Order: sequence, then C-alpha cells, then structure tokens
Amino acid sequence: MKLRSSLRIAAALCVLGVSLVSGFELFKLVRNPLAPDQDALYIARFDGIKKALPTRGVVCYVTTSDDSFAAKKNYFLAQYALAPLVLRTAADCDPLIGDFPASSIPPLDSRRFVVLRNFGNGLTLLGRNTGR
Amino acid sequence: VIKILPSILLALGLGSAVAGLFWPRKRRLLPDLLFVLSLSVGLGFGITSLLFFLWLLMFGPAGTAFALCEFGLLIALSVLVVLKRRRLQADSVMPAPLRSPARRPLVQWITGVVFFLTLLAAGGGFLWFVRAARYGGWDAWGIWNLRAKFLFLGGPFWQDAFSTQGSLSHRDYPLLIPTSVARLWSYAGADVSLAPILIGALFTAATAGLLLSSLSTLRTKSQGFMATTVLLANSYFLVLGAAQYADLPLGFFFLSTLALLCLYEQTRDPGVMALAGATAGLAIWTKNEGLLFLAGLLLAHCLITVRKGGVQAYLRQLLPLALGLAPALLALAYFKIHFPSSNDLFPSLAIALKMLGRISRWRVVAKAFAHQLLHFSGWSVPVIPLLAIYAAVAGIQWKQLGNLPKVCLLLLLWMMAGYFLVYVATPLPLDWLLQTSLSRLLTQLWPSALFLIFLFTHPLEPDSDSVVANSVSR
Repeated sequence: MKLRSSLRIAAALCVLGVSLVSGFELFKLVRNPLAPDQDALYIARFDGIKKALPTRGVVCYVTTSDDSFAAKKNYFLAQYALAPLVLRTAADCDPLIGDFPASSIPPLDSRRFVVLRNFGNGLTLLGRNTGR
Repeated sequence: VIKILPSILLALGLGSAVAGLFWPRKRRLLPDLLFVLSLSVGLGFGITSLLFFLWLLMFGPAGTAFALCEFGLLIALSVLVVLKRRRLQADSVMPAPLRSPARRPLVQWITGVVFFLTLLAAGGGFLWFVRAARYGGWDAWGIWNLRAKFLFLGGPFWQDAFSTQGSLSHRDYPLLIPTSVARLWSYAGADVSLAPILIGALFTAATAGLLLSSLSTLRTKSQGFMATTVLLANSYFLVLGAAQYADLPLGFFFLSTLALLCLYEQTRDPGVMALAGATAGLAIWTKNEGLLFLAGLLLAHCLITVRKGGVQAYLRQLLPLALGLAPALLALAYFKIHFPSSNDLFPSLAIALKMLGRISRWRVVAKAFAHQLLHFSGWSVPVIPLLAIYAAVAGIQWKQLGNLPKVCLLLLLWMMAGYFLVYVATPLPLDWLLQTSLSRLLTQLWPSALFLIFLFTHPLEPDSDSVVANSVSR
C-alpha cells in the first residue's frame, strides 16, 4: 500500500516536472524579440485604396496569378481589410483591385487593363480596357 | 477598453445570472464562485450572441436599444436569482457553509505552487503570441472576424456576409464568434482589434478556470491543479487562444458539458442538466464539429442511462437537457435553412462513400493520429504516453463514479472516432488537411480529455465533497 502511494506521488511529480519544463520553455520564448506583425502591415496597406472604393457591393480582385498559398493568403487579408466590400477573385468586373506586393507596376496585360490609380506598395486600382 | 468593457461585463453578468438561476439548489454559490464565473464566460457570450443574431434578423443593426434590452434582461435575471437563492436559504435547502480544514495537505501546496508558476508562464506566453499577430491567425481574419466585419460594418446589408457573388468561403460556419465580435464592436462603435483578442483571452482563461474549479469540486484541489498545469503548459493551447480561433471556445463548451454532466451525477438537480444542454447547444452554435458532439452526447446518454437506470430515469434527464439545448438549436436550424451553403468537407454522400472505400486513406489518417498522439503539444516529453503511465500508476476509479462520467468518456471516444472518419471521408487533399487541422481538432478535445483523466484517476489526497464520496454514500 505504501509502495503504491509512493509510486503515485512519483508519477504525479513526473507530470508536474515535465509541465514545469514546458512552462520554462514558454518563458524562454517570451524573452525573444518579436518579429514585425506581417499580417497587420499587409492589412494596413489597404487604408488608402479603401477611400477610393464604394462602401459596399462587389469588386474584382487580382493578385499573384498562381493558385498558391501566398495568393490565397493575400486574398483573405485583402478581403478582411476591405470588408464589408465583397471581393471577387476574378478580373471580369470593374473596379478591379491589383494587389501585387512584390512589384510597383502590376504584371498584367496592358491591352486588357488600364491603371486608374496607383496607391503604391503594389496596390493599384484598375479598369478593363474597352478600347474606347 | 473602456468602450468594450460594458459589453463584456454585461455578457459575464448575463452568464452568471443564468448559471446562478440553474445552479444546484443544494449548493451555495460562493464556494463554487470560480466554477460559476468560468461557466458565465461561455454562457454569457453564448446568450448575447443569440440575442445579437435575433436582433439582426428582427430589427437590423444593433444600437442603443439593443444595449438597453440586454441591460433590462440582466436586471430581470438578477432579481430572479436573488429571489430564488433567498427562498432556498429560507427553506433551509442549502447546507450551512463548511468550515475549511485548518491545514492544507502538502500535496496541495506542491501542486498549487507548480500551477501558479505555470500560470505565470502561460500569461506571459499568451501576451507574446497576441503581440506577434494582432489580427490573429488565418481562420480569425479569413473566417470568424471577417464575418463579424460584415455583421457590424455592413449595416442593413449585413447579409452580404453570406454573399455568393464573391469568393467568401465557409459560409455555413455557425455564428457564435462572429456575432460576439460584432456585438463588442457595436458597443465600441468601431471594429477595434482588441475585441476579438479579449474574447480569445476570456475563453482561454475560462477553460483553465473551469478545469481547475470543476475538478476541485468533483474530486480534489490537487487533481484540479495538476490537470490545469498540464493544460497551461501546452503552448499550442495558448497559441490557438491568442490566434482568436473558434476551436478554443468549442473546447470550452465540450468541457462545460462534461463537467456539468458529472455535477449532475453528484447533485441530481435538473437545473444542472439544463445548463449542460445549454452548453452543448452553444457548441453547435460555435462550430460544425459541435453537431458531432451533440449527436454523440444524445447517443451515449441514451445508451448508458437507459441500460443502467431505465427509460424513466433517461426521460427525467432528457427533458431539462432538451430545454437547455433548444435556444441554440433553433437559432442554428434557422441559420442553416435561411443561409444555405454547401459544406466543403462533404459535397455528397457518394463521394464520401467512395473515399471511405480507399484503404490508403485509412492508413494515412491512422499514421497522422498516431503521430499526433505521440507528439501532441510539442513537449520535449510525449505528454499523452506520460499521462497514460500516470493513470496506470495512480489507478482508475471506475465503479465509484456513477453513470454520467462514463457517458462523458464514451462521448470523447465518439469524437475521436468521428474526427478520424471525417478525415477519411472528405475529398479534400488529405496531407494538407491533416497538417492544417488535426492538432487544432485534438486541442478542442484536450481540456475534456484532461478533465476525464484526472476525474477517473485516484487522487493524491482523499476525496472530500466529491462525486466519489457522494456516489459511495448513495
């Protein structure tokens, strides 16, 4: 009975000890300097373009052309920044937001699109080129 | 903070009032204060979320009238609580307060000190994770808070949140978090990022508080301290809370339901069963996984209660459970009917059956589950095998606990099996899905698993006012 009780206490101390080590690792992590909040910076880029857009409705949105993780993330962050405007990930309506954070000039076919306004930071407001 | 604070206090007040109203007649509120307060976080945000949704449907955007309505409800419920508790005191239903023992056992001191140190580390960790990503993780800005923005900033056009014209995803997801965030923004008058952070923080703290208080009430304080220490030492649990994901509130409602079922075993008060129904209902109002939980709860409860106590005992428990469940169930039914949207996990039954027939998928999912069970929470020592060894050494008290804790255990196994089958049956890319969601799903179940492990294992100190003591005396 006494052995059982001692074993029980030893097992409990093991669990508590491992928890303490894990807590200490957390404590060490907290002492690390923070990297810049990239998502907050991305969302803040849209402050300027927001004023040039309607307050509600649907606008088209294009970002890096592939179906990558980065493209999806760009879309969702842009959608969050511009809600309650609904973004449509297609280039078939006006106005069209070009979101290309890596380049100052949107890598789009200039025969199909005209830049209506460049907000810098890779954000442009585009219109479809009707040829008129 | 000053503008958000009244809305949070109102929610907590409403939650406390409802918990107080249905709290067991034979238990005093003051000794159970942490239990009641922890429950009040979930109940409060749940009730106000349902009210906010109802208001949107009936009158459109919430303003001063909505705030007055909530305040009026709080006054009315508080009066009812005071009247009920006074009547119980006059009828001498409640026992006189117990004098606490003069000395606390050493084991309680040791577990208490380790808990306190871990709590400090967890608090620091949570703040660090919040500062690292103010807008939370992907699901926060991609689903929950995004929907809240439509509900708050959309004004009369709040239903754009479910628009099919854009590229919005997961339009079928329930609304507890979006409506709670939008409600706080309505009080603040702006979509401040602090509101969802505070909701995440409150649910994280309430989950820890509920685990500690429920185990302290149902078993012993040292069991409560140990379980909560293990919970808070899991950095992924804190990451999810700081990331403003709905998985933590869902885990809170799972744990609440289990803790209340076990409290019912002790008190046999129908009010507790109604509260368990309410928290199970709020689980389905938080995430679709709540539906799996509810189905498992009804099934496990029916199986075990009918077998052990007969149909009459089952119906006696089912009625208050159903009453508590009804508000959230009705709200969810309305939402699903009026805002229909397909679920990306199950586009059709035929596809699900086809996926279930592929043996390779079963193998991949089993491997991922086994890996997670070994490496869950990223501890240097595998925590789940460690807890299994602890339970084996400490010993399991199986028979003494009564039927409802067994319902809880069956429910937890049902959830694990359910999640496993969902992975096998969905047509979504399996590797990506397992990588992005399995640890989150297991974290939903983690507080409940810890609750059951430390409920069933033999405590380090003798049970006092606990399920075991009461079951034995019955």
